[in-house]
Amino acid sequence: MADLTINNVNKFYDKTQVLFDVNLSIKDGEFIVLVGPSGCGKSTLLRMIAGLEDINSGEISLGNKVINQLAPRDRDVSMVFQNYALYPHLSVAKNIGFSLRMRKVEKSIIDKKVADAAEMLGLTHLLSRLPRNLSGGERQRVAMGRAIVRDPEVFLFDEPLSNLDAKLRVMMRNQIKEIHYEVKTTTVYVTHDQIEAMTMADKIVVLNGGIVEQVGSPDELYDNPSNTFVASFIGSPSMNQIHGKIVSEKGKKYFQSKDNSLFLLPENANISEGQEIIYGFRPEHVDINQAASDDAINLTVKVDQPTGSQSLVFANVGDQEICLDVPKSHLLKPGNEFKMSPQLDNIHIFDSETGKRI
Amino acid sequence: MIRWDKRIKLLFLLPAVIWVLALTIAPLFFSLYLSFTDVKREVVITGVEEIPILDKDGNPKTRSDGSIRTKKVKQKELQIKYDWVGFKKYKRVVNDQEYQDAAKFTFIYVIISVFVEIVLGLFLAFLFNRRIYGRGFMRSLMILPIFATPFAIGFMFFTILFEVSGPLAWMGIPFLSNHNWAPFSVMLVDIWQWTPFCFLVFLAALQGIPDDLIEAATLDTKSAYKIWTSVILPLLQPIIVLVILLRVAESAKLYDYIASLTKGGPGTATQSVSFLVFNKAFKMNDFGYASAGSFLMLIVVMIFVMLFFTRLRKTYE
Ligand SMILES: Nc1ncnc2c1ncn2[C@@H]1O[C@H](COP(=O)(O)OP(=O)(O)OP(=O)(O)O)[C@@H](O)[C@H]1O
Ligand SMILES: [Mg+2]
Repeated sequence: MADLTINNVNKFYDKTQVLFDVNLSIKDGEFIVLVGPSGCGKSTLLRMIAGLEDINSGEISLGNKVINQLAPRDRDVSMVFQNYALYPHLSVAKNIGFSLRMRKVEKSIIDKKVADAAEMLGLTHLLSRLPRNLSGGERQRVAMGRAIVRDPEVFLFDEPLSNLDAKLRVMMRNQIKEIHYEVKTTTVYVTHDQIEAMTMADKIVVLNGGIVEQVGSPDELYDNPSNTFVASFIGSPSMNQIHGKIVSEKGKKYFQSKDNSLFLLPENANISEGQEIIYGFRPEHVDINQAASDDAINLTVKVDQPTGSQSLVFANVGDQEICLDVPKSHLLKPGNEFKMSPQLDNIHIFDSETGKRI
Repeated sequence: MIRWDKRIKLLFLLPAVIWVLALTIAPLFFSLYLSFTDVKREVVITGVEEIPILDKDGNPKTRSDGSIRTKKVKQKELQIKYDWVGFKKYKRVVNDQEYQDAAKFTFIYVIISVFVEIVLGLFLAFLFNRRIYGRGFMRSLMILPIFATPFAIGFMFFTILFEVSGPLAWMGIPFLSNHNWAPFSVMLVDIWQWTPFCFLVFLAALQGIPDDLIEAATLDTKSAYKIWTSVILPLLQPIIVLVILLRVAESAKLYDYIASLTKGGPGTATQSVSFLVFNKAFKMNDFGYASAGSFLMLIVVMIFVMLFFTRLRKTYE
C-alpha cells in the first residue's frame, strides 16, 4: 500500500507542452477523479502514471519509490481503457486472467481469482464467451475484471463509461464505487463528465489546458471554486457569472451589472468600491417572488424548461443570459415578470481580470 | 424503385454466366474428360483425287496425244480420336517416376518458399510497423516486384545467377547447374517476388491492431516476444491463414520461373508438375496424361485449401 505522488511533472509532444508543472499527492486508497475539458491532458497524465508515455521533467513516485524509469509492467498499476482494449481472440475468462498468466501465476490460483472477480462483477455466466459477443456494459465489466484480478497498487481508469448509455452509466458508476469500497485500491479516474466526478470522487482534480486549476473534495469545489473556470465547470447547470463592478449605496455594498441592476453583497466581502468583479451564483441558490429579499431584481422569463418538480428558467440580465433552477410554477412562463434574489450565503466573487476567487 | 421482372434480371446475368461457362467450366470439364481418354491424332485418307500436272508457266502439261497429264493425290485429314481408357492415365501418372519427382519438387518448393515468405514478411512488417526514417519510400520500393511478370523475373534471375559471367559468378556457386542448388535458386526467385506481398498485407494488418491492445499488454509484460505470441500473432492469424492460402494456391502452379530460369533442369531437378504437364501435353501430345496429372494436383491443392478454409471460417466466427 502506498501513496502516489506527482511532483512538478511536465510533458511535451515535440515542442508543444501539454502538461505544466503538475503536482498531486494521492493518499493510499483514495478515489481521485481527473476532470477537465477535452484535450486538457487528462489521458496524458494518466498514461504517464501507467508508464505508457515518458515524463519530460518531474517525478512520479509510488510510496517512496520514484517510478519514472520503471517499465509499465513493473509499476504495479492496472488500467481500464476507454475502448476496453479486450483481447478479441480470448474468452472472458482468459481476458480476465491474462495479466496473471503473463506473470506466471499458478493455474489453480488464476482460476480461483478469475472466478472471484467474475463473481464480484456478475460475469460468471459469461466466462466462456468472446468479447465480440458481449454488450457494451458487459465488456466494460470484463475490462474492470481484468484490472482487479491483479490486486495492483493503483487503478487507472480512462473515461471507462463514455461508451455506455445514460442509464448504464449510472449503474456502472455505483458498481465502480462499490468495488472501490470493497478493494480500497488507490484509484485515478479520468472523465470529462463533471457529474461522474462529483458523484464518485473522494477528491477531484480539475485540469484545464495542462494546468491543475483546483484540487479538492466535490463539496469544496462546489462551495468554494477557486476560479471562474472551476466555477463554471463544476455543477450543472453551470454557475451564473455576471460582469460588473462594486458600488455603495445607503452604507451597503452592491454589485452593479453592466445594465445597472443591483445585487446585494454579503457584508463581510473583502472588496472595495469601484472594483471590477465577476459576480457568481448557482442556478439553485436563488429565491424568487415572495421568497425573494427586498433587494430582488425584476426579470422576464425567456424560456422555461421543466425538469420534473423543478424548472430551469432562463432570463437576461442586460445582455447576459442567466439560468435559474427553481420550483415549478405556472407563474414562470415565457414573457412573465418575476422577482429574483441570489442567496447571500452562496455568492461567489471573482476578480474580473484573473478570474480568481476573492 | 423499379421492380425488375425476375426473368429480365436473369437476362442481364446471362453474358456473365456464358462467360464463366465458356471460359472456365467448359474447359475444366473437357480436361476432366480428357484425363480419362487416350487422345490420338490420326491421319486418315479420305479419298484420292486426280489433278493436272502444271508446268512452270502454270499451264497443264499435255501428253503427246494431247490429253492432260494428271497425278493422283491422296486426300488426308487429321483426326483427333478420344479413346475412353478409364483410370489408365491416372495409374500411369501415379506410377510415373517423373511425375513423382515433379510432385515432390513442387511440394517442397511450395512449403519452403511460402514458409520463408510468411516469416520474412512478418519480420519486415514488424520492423516497419513503427515510425522509421524512409518508411514510405521503402514501402513503395517493396511493392515493385509484385507488378513484374514472373516469366521476365525468371530471365532476370537467369542473368543474375548466370554462372559464367553473371554478377554472382565470383561466388563459384553452381546456382543453375547443380541439382541441389537449382531448386534453391527457383525458390529464391519466388521469395524475392512474393515476400513484399506478404509484407504489405501483414503491415496493413499490424497497423489495424488498436494501440490500446498492445498498451494493455505492456502493462502486463516486458517481453516483446510474449506480446507477439500472445496478442499480435493470434490477432494476425486470420490474415496469415489467408496469405498462406493465396500463396500456396499460386505457387503450386509454378511454371513461369521454371520455363525462363531452368527449363526444369539440370536433368529434371526443377521440373514442377505444371511444367511437366505442359510439356507432356504440348510437346508430346499426351493430353490424357497431362489432364490426369493436372487433376491430381488440383485435388491435392483443393483438399489443402478446404482444410484451411474451414480453419479460417472457425477463427472468423
Ligand atoms: N501522441 C501525441 N502527439 C502529439 N500531441 C498529442 C499526442 N497525444 C495527445 N496529444 C495532445 O495533447 C493534448 C492532451 O491530450 P489528451 O489525450 O491527454 O487529452 P484528454 O484530456 O485526455 O482529452 P479527451 O477528454 O478528449 O480524451 C491534446 O491537445 C492532444 O492534441
Ligand atoms: Mg483522453
